[in-house]
Amino acid sequence: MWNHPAVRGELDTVTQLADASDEDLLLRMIRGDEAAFTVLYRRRQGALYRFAMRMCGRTSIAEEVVQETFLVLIRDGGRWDASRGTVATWLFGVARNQALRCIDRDGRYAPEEPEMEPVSGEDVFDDLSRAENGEVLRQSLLSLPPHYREVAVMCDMDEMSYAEAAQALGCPVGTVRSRLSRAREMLAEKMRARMGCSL
Amino acid sequence: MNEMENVRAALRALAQRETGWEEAPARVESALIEEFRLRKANRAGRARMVWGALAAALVMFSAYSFSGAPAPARPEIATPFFAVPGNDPFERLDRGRLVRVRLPRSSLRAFGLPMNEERAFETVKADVVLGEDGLARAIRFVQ
Repeated sequence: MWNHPAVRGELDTVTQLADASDEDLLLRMIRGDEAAFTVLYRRRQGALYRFAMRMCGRTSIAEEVVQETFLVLIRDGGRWDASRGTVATWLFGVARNQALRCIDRDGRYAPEEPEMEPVSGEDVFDDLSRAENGEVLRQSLLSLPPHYREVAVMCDMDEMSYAEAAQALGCPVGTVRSRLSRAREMLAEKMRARMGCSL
Repeated sequence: MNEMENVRAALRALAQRETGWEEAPARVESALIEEFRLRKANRAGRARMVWGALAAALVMFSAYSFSGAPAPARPEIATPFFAVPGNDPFERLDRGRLVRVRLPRSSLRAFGLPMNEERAFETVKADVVLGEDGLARAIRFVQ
């Protein structure tokens, strides 16, 4: 199959574009270059899928978020404004809006409280090697209000800088900082309440 | 580490331990590429339609132009020419073209001609004199 001329041709084109910047790929895509779209999709979809999973907690919604995000790119890619951030942060912003729309549509996701034994150690965060503690943390994260959840996911899990998160969210860096600080406090409180231990 | 740093480290550790979320399913890519192709094809189709319509309009425009206008089947009654507002009525026009167009009947009113209000939404034939620059200089209405 890989030796078929059409497939080989596509692979060659995709390989040639592998080093192109997101911005170049977007411009080519707007002109109708399918290979450029494919490369851009493959480069960015993983991070957006993980972001959507962390925001929504369901694979079906994460899949929908990724699909809708790239549909926006296909339809309105020309609206990307370089002065307002990179293509990557713009895509995160679109994905974030799609995720909020899904959360709003499906009602606030209220994860079931898992029944768990109290942890043996004093510090729940030191005992994250236990899978159930990770699950409690994930459920606690999902129970945060979306505006706090998104900054925790972007900055602490995806390791985006404050500036990148601010671009994606369309808000000042100071807002990101304050929301992140509050998100961490809320998470600590939730973990204390769920795990019944000191931090 | 303080409590907030613990939370940050815990979230980071959780992110590193996640498995199975690396990529969206392959069907998402397939569906999107299908959509991309569809939109590209639709765009190309629309562009062809626009160019086709423009070409057709050009052909019709040429057919109605002064030099090649077909002889009317029956005698027409026309008003005198009226200067189009914004032009010097005494300006000498050495060269130009006469173009037959259809205008809303309500445009009669703009030249002080009587108009049946009940037929305001109908159209009326008119001959427009165009200067070399393509701007309308004068107009007459034809019945």
